[in-house]
Amino acid sequence: MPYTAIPISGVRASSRRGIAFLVSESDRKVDAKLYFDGIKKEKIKRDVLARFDYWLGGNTCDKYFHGWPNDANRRDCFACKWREGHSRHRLYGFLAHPRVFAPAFQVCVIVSHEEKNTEHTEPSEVDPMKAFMMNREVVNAVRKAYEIA
Amino acid sequence: MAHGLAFSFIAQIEKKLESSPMTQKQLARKLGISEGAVSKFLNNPQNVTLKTAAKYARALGFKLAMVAYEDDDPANEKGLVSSEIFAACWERSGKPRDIWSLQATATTSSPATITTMRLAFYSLTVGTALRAWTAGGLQTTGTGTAHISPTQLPTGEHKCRK
Repeated sequence: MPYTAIPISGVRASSRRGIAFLVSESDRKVDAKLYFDGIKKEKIKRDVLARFDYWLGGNTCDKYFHGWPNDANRRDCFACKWREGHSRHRLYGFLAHPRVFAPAFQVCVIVSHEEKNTEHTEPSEVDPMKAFMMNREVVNAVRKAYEIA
Repeated sequence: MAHGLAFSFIAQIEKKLESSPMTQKQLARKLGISEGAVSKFLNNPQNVTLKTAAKYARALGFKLAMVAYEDDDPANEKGLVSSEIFAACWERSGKPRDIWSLQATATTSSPATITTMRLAFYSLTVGTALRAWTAGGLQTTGTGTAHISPTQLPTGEHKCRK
């Protein structure tokens, strides 16, 4: 299954971090970009982009996004969160270091969208991200998107 | 930019709520509004006004400042510097409360301050005395450390490094 990583536009440029959507025409689990592009309310799109921007700046806020840094099994998993009425939305992804000669450069690869009705994110909900971060094609796609010319 | 500003402010509020014993309900009671109104405020950065921002900040024990700054990024490609960074810089500067205390901070113990004095020294051997030449006021201790008396620095030219 071919994958592509598309850096997200409309966010800050950073020498330390990047953020991208993983895209696939055949893998239906990879639907984050499709969902994001389909958001009709500008306010919601702006809020989501603001969260991405905040993360790119190195800031933390568990209410907007978080990982599982203390969980050895899910350390590089990532969740971005927002509410729309009673619905809780999640964008799940993973953290990667695609630049071989700049290993500190970190990229958040957003993979899938989930809508739920509880606030708490069960760690098992992000387990599918582990398969993506180990997938050679996905790794190569992210490297290609962030290779320095 | 306005949305980013408001978002950064609300993020501070959210983090303060996370770390303090105050619940959203208690915050609402303190502000004299409903819990739903607090939730609406926190989820709608585009609706933040100066007045409401100040009310929320005070209710949580904060004060507010508006900061205009130049960062050589006219196209705003690098985004905004978050308010937390400004707050952290202010704290690291010793929390100056006015221009005079800011000036006093700038001329004393900042580790990043670069000296502009005409001074050069080099070490002859590791662990031995420093040999130096200067307009005056430099004493060698014989232990590899040089001390500069602030009163002997040329006025108007220097920033001390300690």
